[in-house]
Amino acid sequence: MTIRIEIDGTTVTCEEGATLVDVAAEAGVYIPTLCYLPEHPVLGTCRVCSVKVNGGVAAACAVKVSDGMRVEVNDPETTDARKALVELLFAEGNHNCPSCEKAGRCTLQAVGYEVDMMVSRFPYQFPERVADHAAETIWLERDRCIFCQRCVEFVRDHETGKKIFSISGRGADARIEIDVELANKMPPEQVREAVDICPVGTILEKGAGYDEPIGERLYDVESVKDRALEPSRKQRK
Amino acid sequence: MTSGIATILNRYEPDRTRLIDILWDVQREFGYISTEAAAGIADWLGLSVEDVLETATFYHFFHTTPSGRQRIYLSNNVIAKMHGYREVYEALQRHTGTRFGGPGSDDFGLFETACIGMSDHEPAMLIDDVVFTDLTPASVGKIVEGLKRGDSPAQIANPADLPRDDVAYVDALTRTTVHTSGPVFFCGETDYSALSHHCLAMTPEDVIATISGSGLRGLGGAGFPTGNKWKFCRAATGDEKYIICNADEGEPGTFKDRVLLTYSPKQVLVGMAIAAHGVGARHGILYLRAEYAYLRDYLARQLVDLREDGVLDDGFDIRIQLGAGAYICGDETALIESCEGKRGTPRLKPPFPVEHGFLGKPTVVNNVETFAAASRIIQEGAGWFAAMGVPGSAGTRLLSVAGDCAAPGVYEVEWGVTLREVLDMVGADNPRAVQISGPSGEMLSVATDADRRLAYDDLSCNGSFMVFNHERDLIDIVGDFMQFFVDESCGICVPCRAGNVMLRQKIGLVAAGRAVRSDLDDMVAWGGIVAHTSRCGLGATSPNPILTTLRKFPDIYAARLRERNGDLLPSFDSEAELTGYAQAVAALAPQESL
Repeated sequence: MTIRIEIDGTTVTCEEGATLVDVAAEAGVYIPTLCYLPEHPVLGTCRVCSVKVNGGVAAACAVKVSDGMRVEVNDPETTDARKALVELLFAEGNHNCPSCEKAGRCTLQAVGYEVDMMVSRFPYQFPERVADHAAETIWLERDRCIFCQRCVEFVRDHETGKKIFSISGRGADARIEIDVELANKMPPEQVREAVDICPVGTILEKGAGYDEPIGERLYDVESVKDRALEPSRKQRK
Repeated sequence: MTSGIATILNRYEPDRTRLIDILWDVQREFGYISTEAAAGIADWLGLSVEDVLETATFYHFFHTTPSGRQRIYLSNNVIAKMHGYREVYEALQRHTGTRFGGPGSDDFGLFETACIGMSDHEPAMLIDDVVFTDLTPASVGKIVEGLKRGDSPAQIANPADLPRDDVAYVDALTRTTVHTSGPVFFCGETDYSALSHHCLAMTPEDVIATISGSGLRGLGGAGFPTGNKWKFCRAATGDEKYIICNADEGEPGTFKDRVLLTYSPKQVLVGMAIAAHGVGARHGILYLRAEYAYLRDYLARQLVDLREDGVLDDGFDIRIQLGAGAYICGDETALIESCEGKRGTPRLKPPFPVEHGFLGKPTVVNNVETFAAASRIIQEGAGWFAAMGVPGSAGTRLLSVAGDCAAPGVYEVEWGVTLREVLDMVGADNPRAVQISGPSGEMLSVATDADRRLAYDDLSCNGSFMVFNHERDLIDIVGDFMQFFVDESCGICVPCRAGNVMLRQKIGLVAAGRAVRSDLDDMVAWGGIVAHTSRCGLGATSPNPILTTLRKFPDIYAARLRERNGDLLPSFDSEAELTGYAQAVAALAPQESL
C-alpha cells in the first residue's frame, strides 16, 4: 500500500512497511549506516542511523515506515548523536586509517567523513587487541573490529550452515573469533565475500594486500553518501 | 569425545535450547568448559565450536579455563560495601591463598560478582550453587577451613543435612524477613488445586478480562498492562504458545522475587498456569537466575506437587531453565534468546514476544511478582485488586528494602504510598538518599522527594529500594553503579558498549577530584546520547545514576571539581606523562622467565 511520510518537512510517498533507511535514500536523504546491509536481516548494532521518528530516537534500519510517520534526519541533536557514535567507534578501537589496508574502501572511514568527524570527542582507549592469523586464507585484525555482526550472521559454512565467525566475551571485552576448521574450507569467492562484507579492515585475505591503488578505491571514486543515494538518482532518470 | 561428555550429552536431545543446561553439567563435572568439551557439544548440536563458546563466554559463571575446584563468587554490590565487604574480600584472599582477578589455584578460584539478591544479608557469596550470608572475616575463615578439610559447600551451609527440596533448607541459607502479610502477597495458605479448578471453569476471555479489569501492570518495572499482554498473545497466531516467568532478578538491591519463590512458589507457578489458560499455552519456562540455583530442587519439588494435584499436566507444564550470570537477561527478549541457548542479546523490537517470542512463537514473559499477583486476582476478583492503590497504579507491590535502615527485608505497600511513609516504616537511619528501582532507576533526595508517591506516573518502582544515610559517599556509589553497567552491557550496540565505559571514566575523574565543570557537561551530553540511541532498556537507563544525581545532588559534584589551570586539564597528570616513557621501557624490557 502506498503511504505518505514526512522526512525533514518534505512529504515522501513510499510503500508501507519498507525500511526507513531505504525510503530516505530513494527520496534523496542520506542516513549514514555501518551495519546495515540491504536485502539482509536487520542487525541494528551500530545505531549510526539514529534519527527521530515521531519525536523519539530510533535506528532507521530497524524502522518500518507507516502512514503519517514524521521523521527528522537533520535536526541538530540527532545529527550530533550520529557523529558521536562514529567518534565512539574510533575511540573504542585502534583505527589508524593511513596505514590500514582497507583505507578508501572502509565504510567506517567513509562515514567518518560524511558526519564531519575531525577528532573523537571521547578519550581514545588504545585497547590491546591481538590479531588472529590461525586460518589459512583469512586473518583478523581485531584492532579495527566494530562488532557490527555482519560476518557472524551472514557468512556461514555452505555445507552445514554453521557459523564461521562469532563473538566471544561480552560488553567492552567482547572480541571476534574465527572457527579455523570451517574457515579453511571456505572457497576463494566466499573468502572475498567475507572480506567485502566487513565494513572495516578486520577480515582480511592473506596474500592479497594493497591490490588496488589508494585514490582509486571504492569510496575514493564515489563517496559513501553518493553510493547510498544511487536509488534516488535512478528514480529521477 | 571423552566418555564424561558423552554421558552428559546423552541426558539431552540434540537441541540448542538446552545448551545452557549442558554447559552447566559440563562445568559441574569438570570444573570448567574446555575447548575439547565445547567441540563435543558442538558436534552433538551441529554447531561450530566457536558458536558454542560464543554462548559460553557470554555468561560470567561459565569458565573456559580451569578455575579452581571451589569457585567462590563474592557479591560486590554497594550494600555489601557498606557492610564490611572489603574485610571479607581480604579474608578470603588470605585464607584461600589466592587473589581475586588472579588465575586462582587448583583448589580455589575467587571472583567478584554483581548483586546476588541478598541485600538484606550482605556481605554474601556463592560457592557454586550454595549461598553464604552475613559474612565476616571470621566466618569466611571457617568456611574456607571446611572446604580445605574436604567438606562440600552444601555440607558447610547445611550441617543439619536438611533435604535440598525443603523450604527449611532454603530458609536456613537465606533467612529473609518478610515484614508484611497480605493483602496480595504472603497471606497464608491457599488451596491451589481449588484455585486452578476455579480458573479452568472460567473462559480464557474471562480470565484475561479479569486481569485487565484489575488494572495489574507488569511488576518487573516496565509497568505494561498485563491483561493487554495476555490478550495480544492470545490473539497472535501460532501452533504453540509459551508462558515464561522472568525470575532473573538482577537489578541490584532487589530480592523480593527470591522471597516469593521461597515462601509462595505455588502462587507464582499457578499464576503461570492461569496465564497459560488465558492465552492458550501448553508450555511454561521458569527462567531462574543462576544466583538462585539453590532454589532449583525446591522449585522442582513444587512442580512435582502441582502435577500430583493435577494443576500441571499434559495440557500445561513448566520446566526450570537456569541462567548463567547476565543482568541483561532480565530484558524479556534477551531472556528468550538465553532460553534458546544463545547469548543474552536483546532482540530488535518490533516484533514483540507476544507475537514472535520463544522459538518464534507467541510468548508471554512476566515477572515473578506479576504472576503471583495474577493468582490472587483470580482468587479475589478484579474489583478487589483495583480498589487498592491509586488511579493508574492499581494494587500493591513488594519492596526489597536494604541499606541504612533498622529493618531490611521485604515489605508490601499499596501504590500511592509516599517515600516518607516507606522510610518511616523501615526505620531509615538519618536518610539522605534513596536509590529507587536500582541503578537503572533514580537516586532520590530525601530532602526534596520525601512526599512523592510510589506510582507509575510519579516514582515508578521495580522493587529495589536502597537507603543511604548522610555518611555515605554518593559519588562512590554512582561510580559503582556505572561499573555495574560496564560489566553487564552485552556489547551488541555501540552506545551502550562504548559509551558506558566513557561515562565510567568520567565519574572516576570526579571521584578522584580531577574533573572540571566541562566534564559534568560532557557527562550530561554523553549520557543523553547513550540513553537515546541504545538498543534496549539497559543502555536507555544506564546513564541514570549520573544524570539523576547531577540533578538531585549537584553539590556533591561541585565539591569535587577543580578549576582549570591554564591550558592543562586537571585530568592531565603531567607527572605520569613525564615518567610514562621510562615506565613503558621498564614494562617492555625482556622478562626473565619465572
